[in-house]
Amino acid sequence: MTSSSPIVLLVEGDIVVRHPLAEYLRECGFTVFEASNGDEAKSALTEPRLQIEIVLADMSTEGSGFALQRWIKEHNHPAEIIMAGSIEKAVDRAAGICKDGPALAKPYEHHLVLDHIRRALARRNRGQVA
Amino acid sequence: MPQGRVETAPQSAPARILVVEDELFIRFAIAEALRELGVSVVEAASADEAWLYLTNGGMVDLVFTDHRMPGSMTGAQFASRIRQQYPMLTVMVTSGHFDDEGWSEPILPKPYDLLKTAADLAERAALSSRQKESDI
Repeated sequence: MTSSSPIVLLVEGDIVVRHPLAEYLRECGFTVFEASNGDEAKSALTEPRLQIEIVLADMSTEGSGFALQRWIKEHNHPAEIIMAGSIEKAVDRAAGICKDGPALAKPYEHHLVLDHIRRALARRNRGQVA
Repeated sequence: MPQGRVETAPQSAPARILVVEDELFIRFAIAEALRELGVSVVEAASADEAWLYLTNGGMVDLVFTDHRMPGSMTGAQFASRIRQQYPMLTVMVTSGHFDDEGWSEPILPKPYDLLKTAADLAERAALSSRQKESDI
């Protein structure tokens, strides 16, 4: 499971947020592994074949945040860790990573990702769908 | 979105598969194998998460789900729920130890051949996508 494109581990507990963010980063040319909690993130980071270079983690995801940051330091993992405390920050951080991504043609504007996520969350909060 | 229907990806878009698997490295492997075949993949770590995705208007052509997973539903229960609410959506269940009598359709036994399974799923999803397009 190795890849020539830079590898990002995205740690986010909400699929409605995680999937569009992951797709956005893939459009930027990254290989993206998705973890739904801190335990999955640790398993991924412990697997050397994945060669994870960047960890983009939501602070509020179970087992993520400072605990994950500490774990990465304790295990001397070389990955750069980027924390985001809100959806807005997460999208903003993803846009920052994307800017340095390998894709020559950059994808859609990152605010479209944010709009998409906000709409999905609003729909869920309103309970418009079953 | 009306119940009983999952929105299909636009005509020119690749087929979309929702992979539901709690074993991280199996999920990574099958998702990457499908992406290599040009499939757009949504990854869920449990049936609950996958259900949340679908009921939020998630667009997929096929659901590929493991059976034994943590959470409120097994894969078979999740598949039965999809059958009731989204009868047009293709569902495949995989398991190493299948014990649910509520799902009478064939299941894919684990361990499965990664590349063959990915190719089969991609083909089924593309067929499902084309069928939905022709229904519109």
